[in-house]
Amino acid sequence: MKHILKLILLILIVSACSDNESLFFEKDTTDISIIYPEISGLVNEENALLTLVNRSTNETVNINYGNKINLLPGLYDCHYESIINYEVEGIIVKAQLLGSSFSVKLGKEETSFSIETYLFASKNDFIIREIFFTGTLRSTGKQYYGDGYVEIFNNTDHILYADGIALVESDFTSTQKYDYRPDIRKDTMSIQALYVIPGSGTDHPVMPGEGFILCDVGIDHRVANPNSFDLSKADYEWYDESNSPSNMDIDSETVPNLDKWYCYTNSFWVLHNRGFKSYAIARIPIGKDEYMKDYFYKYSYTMSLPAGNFYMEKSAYKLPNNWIVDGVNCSVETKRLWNILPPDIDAGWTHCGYTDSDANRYFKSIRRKFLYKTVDGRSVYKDTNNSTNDFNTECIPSLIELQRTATDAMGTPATIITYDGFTPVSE
Amino acid sequence: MKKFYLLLIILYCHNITSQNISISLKDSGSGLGVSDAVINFINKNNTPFIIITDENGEARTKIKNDTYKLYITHLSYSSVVYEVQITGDYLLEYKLEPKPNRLKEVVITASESKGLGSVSKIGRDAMQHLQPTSFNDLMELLPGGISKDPDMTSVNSISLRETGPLSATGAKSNNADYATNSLGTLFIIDGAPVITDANLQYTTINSSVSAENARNTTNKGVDMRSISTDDIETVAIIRGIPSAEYGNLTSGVIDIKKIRRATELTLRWKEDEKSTLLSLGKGFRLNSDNHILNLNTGFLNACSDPRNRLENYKRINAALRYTYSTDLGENRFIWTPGIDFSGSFDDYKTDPDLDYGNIDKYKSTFRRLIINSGFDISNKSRLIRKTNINIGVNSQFDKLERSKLVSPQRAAIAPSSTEPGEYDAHLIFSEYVSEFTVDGKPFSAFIRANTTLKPSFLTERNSIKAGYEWSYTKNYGQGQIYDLSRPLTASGWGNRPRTYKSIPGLQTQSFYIQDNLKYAIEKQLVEIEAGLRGESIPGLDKRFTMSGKVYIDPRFNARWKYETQTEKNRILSFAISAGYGRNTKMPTLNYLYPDPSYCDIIQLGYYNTINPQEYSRYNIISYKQDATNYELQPARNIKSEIRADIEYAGHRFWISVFSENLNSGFRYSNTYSPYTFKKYDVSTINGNSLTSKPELSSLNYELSKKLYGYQYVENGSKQLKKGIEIELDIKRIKPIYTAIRISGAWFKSTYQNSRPMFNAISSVIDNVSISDNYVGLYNWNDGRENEQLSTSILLDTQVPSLGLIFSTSVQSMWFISTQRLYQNGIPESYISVEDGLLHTYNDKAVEDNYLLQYLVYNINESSFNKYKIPPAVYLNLKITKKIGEKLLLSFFSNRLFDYTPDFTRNGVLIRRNVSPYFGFEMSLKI
Repeated sequence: MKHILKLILLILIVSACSDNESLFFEKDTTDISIIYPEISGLVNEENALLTLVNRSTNETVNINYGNKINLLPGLYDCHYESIINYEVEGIIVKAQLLGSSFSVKLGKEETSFSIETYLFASKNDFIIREIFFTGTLRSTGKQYYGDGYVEIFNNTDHILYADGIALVESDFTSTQKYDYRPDIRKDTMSIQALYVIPGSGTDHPVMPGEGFILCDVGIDHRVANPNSFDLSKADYEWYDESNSPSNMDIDSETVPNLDKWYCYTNSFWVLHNRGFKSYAIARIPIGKDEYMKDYFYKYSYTMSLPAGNFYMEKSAYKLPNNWIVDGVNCSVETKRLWNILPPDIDAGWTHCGYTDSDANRYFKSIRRKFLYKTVDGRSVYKDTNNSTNDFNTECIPSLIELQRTATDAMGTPATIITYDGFTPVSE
Repeated sequence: MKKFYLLLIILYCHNITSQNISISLKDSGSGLGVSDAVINFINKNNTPFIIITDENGEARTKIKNDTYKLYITHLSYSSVVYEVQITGDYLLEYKLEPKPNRLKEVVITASESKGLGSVSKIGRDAMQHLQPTSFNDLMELLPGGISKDPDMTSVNSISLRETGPLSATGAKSNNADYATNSLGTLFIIDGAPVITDANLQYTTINSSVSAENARNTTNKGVDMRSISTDDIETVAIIRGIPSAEYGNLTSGVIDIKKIRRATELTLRWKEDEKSTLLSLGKGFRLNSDNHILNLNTGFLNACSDPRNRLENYKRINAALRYTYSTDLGENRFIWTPGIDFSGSFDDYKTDPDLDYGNIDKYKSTFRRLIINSGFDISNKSRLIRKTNINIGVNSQFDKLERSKLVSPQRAAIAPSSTEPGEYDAHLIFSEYVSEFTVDGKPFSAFIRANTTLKPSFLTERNSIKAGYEWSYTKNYGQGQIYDLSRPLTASGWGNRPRTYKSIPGLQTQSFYIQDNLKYAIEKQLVEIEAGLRGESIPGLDKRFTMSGKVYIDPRFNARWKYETQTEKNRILSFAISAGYGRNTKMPTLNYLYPDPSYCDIIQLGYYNTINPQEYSRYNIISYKQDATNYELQPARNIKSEIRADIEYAGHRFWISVFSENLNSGFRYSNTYSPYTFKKYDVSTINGNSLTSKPELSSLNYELSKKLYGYQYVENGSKQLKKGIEIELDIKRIKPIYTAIRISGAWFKSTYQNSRPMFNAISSVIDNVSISDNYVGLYNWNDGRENEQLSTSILLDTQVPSLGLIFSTSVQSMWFISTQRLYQNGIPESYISVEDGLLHTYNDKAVEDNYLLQYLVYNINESSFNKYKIPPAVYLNLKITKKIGEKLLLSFFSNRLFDYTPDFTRNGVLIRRNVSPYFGFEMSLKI
């Protein structure tokens, strides 16, 4: 509705301005009020830049915010961007503020308007839009694994290539925290599963505002569990080749496999079904052989449970934090002890379920909050590097919404399609 | 003491030509014999002497012709005086009036034998006061024993003189790898050994949290839950070195004697937090004392938690025992046939409210019928002094029924053939209810013969004991019955149904010879018992190393005792004894003939997304691996102990130091071999154009190999036991009616593997599963060293005039510690899939193949730190009160008070919560 109104307004303004000719006016950009998102620990803002796009001439003007500029009166799309620095848990985090106001009438009379800005902490790369790790239930109430998936989304305004994107699961769990030795957590994530999208670098283009699905098993799960849904059209699956019939994985012929670099188990990998792990996507800048050889990590820690001390030794692979493109911490309220990913990747955490083994968590996913749609119809999602704010919790998974499949063990079908589990898609 | 007096009397009487006097004392109400009555003979010369009635209420003596006053006294009966004139042989019979509300003084603890080795004896009175639910509760009475809540929903296997396997935090853990000593504890009931070697009631679920894991008795020996204590007269628990008379064991002997005497009709009702027990028993005297018939029946209903009725255990037992004794000339002849039925029913169901219907259940029933017969002839003067023959059969009807809702994750596959070879697997999509039945019919028969010889060339104090024992056991059950395509777990490969009938039977045969020597010089007494026992398995397949071999066990016990009388006529005695013995336990049926292991490998894994049910195809190659270890040896334990025993004026102190060394305990170990399979290339299949399953012949394949592990039995467990047991008994202090017993034990038990172990790494590196290619062989110690120190102070207050027994025990576990044994995380060698051979693991090997670096376990040195639990002190109360003539009421409360201080471990505060356990029982004698 908002957009339709804007459109009507635009038509009216365009027709009203048609007889106004070449009369530049001086615009003081400080008249434009910038509405900031709530940022705690804000240190400073720098490089504030305005981009004004004349909708009739398509002429684009860039100007530092605060300066004056001569403009033709007309209808403008105004974009604001700046770099802000803020402090989270003692770490200075750099992020981007972005905001746009579309079809603003600028002229001598119209002096002020506002631009609402949003914090964007993305690395100008893919983001995780959704993780469905809880799985579904069979009609008998038993858990069903295999239909977990992760949706990766291009939240930028340009084409991104999915080639080489790695999906990783943390080795540590958010419900157990120990004194890990050697402690490499400052700049490294310890991972227990690493699967990479194959490709030469430009094989898998993803348009702005589009996403793709990485799933566990790319089959129509309704054959085995009528309460599940169809993943046979997913984009990639993590297939764990095993010739042991006790723990075989299914290799779907319709869904290409991810390249399995490392996994802690020789049976099959499933997303942590109670959501105690952190997930991230990364771009590994070195070759597989080099990585496999040099990034093996052995560590030990003392597990001090109420029952006593346990000395644990484990091995995993390490992933430098600066290779991470996006990451999400998951946990549950009653068990959470810490965030595995550092604040510059995810300053918050999200969840499906409130307690350990929450029986109500099934058929639910975490979905990133929808912000707005651009004029060209691209959906923009919130990305402040704080999953507490960025994600909606306990959502009906997007694929269940789209396929209108079961939302509980009784088989109650999904009825509404939403952008993010809350905002309905309305035409 | 009483015996000592009796001995004096007999010695005193020996030289006088006199009359045979037989006195029989009977209860005026029940007509039953009154035992332990003191009969004081006083003649005119005022030279008194005393005799005491035996368990049948009889006493015999020889006295000169004279007139005597007989003062008959007994704790529970009114004293009487009779005057008799002895002129010839007399049979005197008197009736005694019970004192109202009097309870005779009884032994409520286990009494340590004054014989050669360490033996605890537990009588009826102790059992009555303890109020046991099952035999397991009697273990509290052994040195070092601490009261435990009855746990009737899991196997109660025995552990003597050890801490038992512990977890990293010092909690008891159930570890099948270290069960040889409980398997190797021999239970003998009325002369009949309890043979459990053919018990095979287990399922293919091996998860440690499953219903079956806690209830699996296979290879664990006797489940003490199934033994009711109500018809037991005495139990002798041989903790030390068993004499050569006992065989096919590693650890100790539990010798149970059932009640075989006339008794009143006794009804017992016991109620505690978790169970209800009812029992009824009577011993009938048929015509005369020569014919005794005992009947017993009992019922127990126990649950794991009073709020949870879905997990419970029921036990029914009924027994009929006939005892015929007679004197034929100089021979005393006793015939003791018996028939004993016991049934136990283990039930476990999941909560239907939690589980969408009542689908998952576990039900294990166990019915045992024992028919045995003992035959004793004794003669005091012949060469063959005593001969005892026991024969018996034991038939069990066991059924384990398991229903489980199985929900395959994604699609699963199940085997379609029990035979090895290549075949297509069943594809399972939907959930199913798996029905699994284990039908076991263990049968055993035995014959046991013992004889005591006193050849004339030996001195009077020397005797020879010899014996022979044979047993046969076989399982005639249908075995594991289930639908292959509906396995109990969707990943339930590796097993196939097996009929138990097809497993050969197991015979054991043994003989022994033992010399018993007693030699007394003045105040000293030396006793020696030295024997040899040979054990063998006749009829065993020639391929077994054990075939045709006889395993000889030497057993030796000796004791030196010095006894003197001090000035105040108090007796002081001092004894030192020592023992050494090797004990051999033959493997069970399961260890000799384990289930074959199946290695199944997917050759083709093709899932058709369009029509998965019709066109998907999973092809398997299946190898059947015989898991029999023909090199298997019996488990052998070397035991030794030294004891010292001091007695003074009725007070007693003893200490015993022991050591046991079992190096060849049975355990299942992993081994790996390479297996070849075809790896079909599915990329050429066009799923859209299929009209049927893809043809194997049209697919390319390459031959590939992988390592696969299977389990076999080996003598790979080491169990070392060391310890000290002490006990101090202070005679009843009359003014406070209280006797004091302080007992304690320190046990140090080590459980570890005695052979190198394979251990697979589960990581997958660059899509290569490490364990499919390389598995390391580690020469490390998978095990723990545990220690515990516990004491018990028991105040045993008995006020016979009030009919009250009141016992207070302060039981302290001063510490429990456990320490993981050192493990070297670097393999000494590794098996490679390429050749299936072991290769030395060194830096060069890792340099050549970087995947080998993953075989190293990074073990922190601090892993081997000791974990110690600080003291825990508990106070237990038990009260027995006699009300009227017929009724005994008992009450117990364990851990009524406790001192379990909080402690910190690595900065973590650990609080211990203790909850008391209550129960009461009523015993009515009619």
